[in-house]
Amino acid sequence: MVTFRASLRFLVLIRKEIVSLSKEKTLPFTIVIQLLTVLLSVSLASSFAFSAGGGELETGSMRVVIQGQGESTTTLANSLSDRGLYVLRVNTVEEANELIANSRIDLDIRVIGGDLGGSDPIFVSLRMRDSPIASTLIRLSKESLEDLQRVARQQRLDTVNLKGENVLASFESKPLNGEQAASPVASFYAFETTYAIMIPLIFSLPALISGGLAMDSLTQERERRTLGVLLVTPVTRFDIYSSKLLFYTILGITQIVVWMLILQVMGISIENTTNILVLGSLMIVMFVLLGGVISARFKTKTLTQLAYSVVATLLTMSWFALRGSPINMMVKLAAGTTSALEFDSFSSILFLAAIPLLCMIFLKEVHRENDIGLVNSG
Amino acid sequence: MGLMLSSRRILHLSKWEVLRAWRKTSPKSLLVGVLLTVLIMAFVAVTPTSGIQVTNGLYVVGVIVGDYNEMLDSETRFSTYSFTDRPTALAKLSSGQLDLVIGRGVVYFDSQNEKSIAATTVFEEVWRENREAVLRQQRDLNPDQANMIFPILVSVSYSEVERQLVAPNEAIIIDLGIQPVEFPVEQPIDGQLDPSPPISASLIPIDSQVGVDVLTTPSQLAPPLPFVSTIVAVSLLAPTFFLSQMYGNGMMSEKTGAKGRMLLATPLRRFEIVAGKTLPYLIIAVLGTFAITQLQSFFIEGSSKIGVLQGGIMVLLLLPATLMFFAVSLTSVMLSRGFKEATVISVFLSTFLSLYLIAPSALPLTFPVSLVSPVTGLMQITEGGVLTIEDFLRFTIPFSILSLSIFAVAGSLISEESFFVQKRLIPKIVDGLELLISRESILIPLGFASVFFAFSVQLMLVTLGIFFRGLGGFLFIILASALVTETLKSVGLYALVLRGRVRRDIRSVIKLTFFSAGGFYVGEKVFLLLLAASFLPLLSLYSETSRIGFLLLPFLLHMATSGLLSSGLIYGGPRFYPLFILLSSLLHIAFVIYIIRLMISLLGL
Repeated sequence: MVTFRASLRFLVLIRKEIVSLSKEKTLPFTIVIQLLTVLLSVSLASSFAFSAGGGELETGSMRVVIQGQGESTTTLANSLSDRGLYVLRVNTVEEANELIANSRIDLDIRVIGGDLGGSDPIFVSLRMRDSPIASTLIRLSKESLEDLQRVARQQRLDTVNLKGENVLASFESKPLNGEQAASPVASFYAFETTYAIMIPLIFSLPALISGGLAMDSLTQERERRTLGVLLVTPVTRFDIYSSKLLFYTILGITQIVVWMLILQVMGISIENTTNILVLGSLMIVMFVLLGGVISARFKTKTLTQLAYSVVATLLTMSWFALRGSPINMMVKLAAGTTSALEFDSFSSILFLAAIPLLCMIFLKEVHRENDIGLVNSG
Repeated sequence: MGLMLSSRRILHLSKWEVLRAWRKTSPKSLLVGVLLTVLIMAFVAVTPTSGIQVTNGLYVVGVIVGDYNEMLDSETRFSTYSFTDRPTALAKLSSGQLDLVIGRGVVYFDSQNEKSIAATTVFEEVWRENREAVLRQQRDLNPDQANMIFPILVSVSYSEVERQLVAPNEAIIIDLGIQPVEFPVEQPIDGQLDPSPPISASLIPIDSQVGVDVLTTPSQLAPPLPFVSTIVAVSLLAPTFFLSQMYGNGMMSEKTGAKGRMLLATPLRRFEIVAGKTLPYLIIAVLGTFAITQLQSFFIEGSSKIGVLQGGIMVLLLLPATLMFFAVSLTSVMLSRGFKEATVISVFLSTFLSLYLIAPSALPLTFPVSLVSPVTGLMQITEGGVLTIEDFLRFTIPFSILSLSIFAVAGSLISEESFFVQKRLIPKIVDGLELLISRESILIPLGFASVFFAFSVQLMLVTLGIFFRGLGGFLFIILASALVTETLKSVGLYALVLRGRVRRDIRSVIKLTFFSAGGFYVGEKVFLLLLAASFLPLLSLYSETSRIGFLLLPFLLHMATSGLLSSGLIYGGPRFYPLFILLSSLLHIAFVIYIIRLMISLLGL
């Protein structure tokens, strides 16, 4: 009977929180914040990836003039052409300059020294504008120059004693079913952007935001002096605090579920959804408890926000920097590297230990507030 | 005299704000704050060394032969498992338990599995790096064979591709261990020799000559990624993030604690209250940003030291953005009804602003667009680039105008009514605009200022549109841009009509159309001039096309859409506002498509 009444009190308080949230614009803004943050990170990652050559680009629209003599120039020109660049091969400086004067050239390459099998170095100079496509041009040139270097080494190192090291032996990539991947570099960037950036952000943001909202909600009750009014009703301080924390935990978990659905719709495969949900829920519990503790500990809004921002930033950063952290585990679960929650590292043990520890501090703080009443409010 | 009095009042209020904040801050909290900040900085310092561990053990690799264990262990993304027989390992690869199987000289992968393909790319990179490391060791052991081991030497220079000689005769060789060699000299087309004689390349330290081509090996060539400078630029924004939050909280306390009412009872004017309250936080933010410019080289790996003058320029460059964060914070406080709402609106607007500031600066494809974010300027300075006065003005003027406009709207909401009456978001914004628009002609400067806001939002849309490629992305950008432009252009007009301050006659329609369209049009042209240097190709096209009426066409477009909106609002009433926004946006889109087609036909594409 007592449990039933306690549950009813809980439900009433949770309903109050839902009404408060729906009246304000908090929830839609929260969702948009998450979307924007994910977009910001993905856009940054994509742009870096694009600079590194992982993006799709119409390479045929890039015009290269290459001037030089001998087989080194031919090898380089062929390699650049194979990479989809529009290559104009000329033999003399005059021809190159004439081309540059009369048409748009994105990359000017001059090769000095043409003997691949000789003993002198082959000098290649690249000249381009400091423009958006410079990164892509460098990446493509690098690949072709590495091709040239490989050919030259093969010819030159036959005569060199490298103490038995077969460093020039290349690996042969063998697909299981005989079909080569269409665009391996693009696949790599797409995969790493999704699983190393998007997934960690998507599943850690609900925890961060839920913790912040829980903390704000509790601080607001105190600052607006509505906590006192609530305490006149047949609810205890513990009821008020824990119902709010419970509500924001449920809200965070709902966000994770929604994100999972969105990812499914977008065609992004997420493995081990149940385990991710469990891990995500633990992260949310931790942040919500953290919000609760900070709110009970610090009395003013400014201090609570500052403390939460700093502690949450530190925690999140440590999760990104520590091996075996919940975020690392989340990534491995989502990518299907592992199918079980692994708690074998120090950071994971710390993470698990933090939840009961925060619970204890939270209870102590609420108890302390009970003792001192509303003396510190406002 | 008035200015002196105002300054004195502002300083007086600032002093009180500092004292109030100081009184509320206990030494214990301050100590905790400082300690936590030091911890964050320590983390930033340590993380690049230890690396981001999110992908630790992401790929599972089966190794059939043991020769590669050392090489694979150097890559944290790999979890390696040894197998004695190939069929077992391949069966595990086939079932998805392994991402790669490595045998002698062969790497097996599953081309149907994206993760397996990604793992192959990582492996190739690891293998290439390992091979180069081994070759470097071999070169050190056999210096006379350096030209055999590293036969290709590359120099890269960034300049206009034009009629210039590119003989790398002033090259520097970095730690390649190759013998000095005479570089050949090329004959220029005009038959005149390069005045600088050929020199022998030797081991010259890289710092000894700035701006001279550097020789490197192909594997050491790296695309110019602005990663470190992005981190430096973001770290410079850190004090502003925190202080704008504290500023917002201070303003919220005035609002909820009814202390703001006392301020309103004093002879202080609204702008003095805003300036007085903002100044202390702004000064601390400026000093904090400057301190980070001077200290960043100690805690950000790979960044170089920034001089005092450069630091000062960086602070000035960032000042409008800092002001913008404060303006956004004030706006969220004035528009919200409680702490929670204020926090969420403030975080939303700050995230949006951060996205606008940071994303364009890292987008190589939208290079000209990236030049409007001050963060690009910060990165330019961090990377040792030169910032011209034109660049500086281009980076700062739009943000300054925008920040001051937002301050003006938010500041106009500081009234007794807004402190006591709880209103929804839209009526609150309308209140602010109504108070700001004392005369109908104020629509002209309002339209002028809204250009900068429209441009910022459109820039964001372009950034977001990159993720929706093809026709979908194009349609998304032009539809959203048109909606934003038309809404911003007419929002003042809507506020006036909603409050019944406009007469229902044709004269009002013409007058308001002219005011809102004219202000926006002038703003648009001023903005174009500000961006002239960064959009040179566009400008030359613009000057060409303006001869055939392109200067007039946008004016006619703004007049037409504003005319449609003002007549719809004045005769139909405010409830038809969304409908007329949609209609004018469609008209706008039709015009954009017409212009694009015209440009294509003019350029003969």
